[in-house]
Amino acid sequence: MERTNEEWLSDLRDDNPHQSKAIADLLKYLKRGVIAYLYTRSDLNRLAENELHQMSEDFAQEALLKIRANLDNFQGKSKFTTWAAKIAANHTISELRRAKWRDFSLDAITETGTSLQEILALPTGQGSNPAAESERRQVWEIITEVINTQLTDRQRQALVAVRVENVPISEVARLMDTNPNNIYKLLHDARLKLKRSLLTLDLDPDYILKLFS
Amino acid sequence: MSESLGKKLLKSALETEDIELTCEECFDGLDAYVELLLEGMDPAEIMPMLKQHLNQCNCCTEEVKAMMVMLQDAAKDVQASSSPDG
Repeated sequence: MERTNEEWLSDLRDDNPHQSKAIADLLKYLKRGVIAYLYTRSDLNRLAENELHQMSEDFAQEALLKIRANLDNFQGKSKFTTWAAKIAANHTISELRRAKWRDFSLDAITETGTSLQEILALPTGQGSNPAAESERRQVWEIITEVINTQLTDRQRQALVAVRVENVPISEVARLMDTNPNNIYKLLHDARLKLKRSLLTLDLDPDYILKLFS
Repeated sequence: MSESLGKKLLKSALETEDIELTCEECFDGLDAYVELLLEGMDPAEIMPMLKQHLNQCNCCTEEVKAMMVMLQDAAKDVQASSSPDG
């Protein structure tokens, strides 16, 4: 199966007589990689062996279509097979995520009362010296104040979904009718607000973290 | 539970950089990044912004882990076929 990047790109083209062999080799490579990954997924433990193999077949075929459609986007920064594995990994994970989070609702976060605010309102630090306890309280107050008053509703919703409910960014994007880059930016802006407010305490960031260890 | 979550959020906030890669930019570099990992190099030195994004993004980190599984498995095939007994 060993080919140079150039050979892969050439052999996979429609007018190349080696195309069938190249496609077969690449598909075999992708299927093997996908099934190896699926075996690591504990959420798929309930599936029978043949079901996992069928799933890997389906995902590998779908990834192959994406790879062939995007050959011109390969920039040669890695081996072609690594780039192809990236596309297959992304496709497989995306499909599994979509199935897992299909019935999740962002509104449910508010309805059940599960919120970052409730969790962060719980007591911090115990039994240590008063100065450290006071500093911990100040940090906690800042975090709570920023989240409650400085974040936009969308930033807060994204933060709770990703950080508390562990919803993948790609799924939050789908639920909020936007794209993952925008969700990452929402979270980045929220983190920046938190960071800038925390730094007004004039405490070393490593020291702040140690207060909660 | 609350302190662990709060501490993770605190760490994430304190490690925020003014400029960070988007998920799309991170994805573009993942194949090069993973190859550096597989070669035993420290990608944080060569691709620090991508490493920083991974520290902040569970989604992209999951993709790196998946790629590592896939590529390490493929490497076993290569080793087996190139061994004197294979």
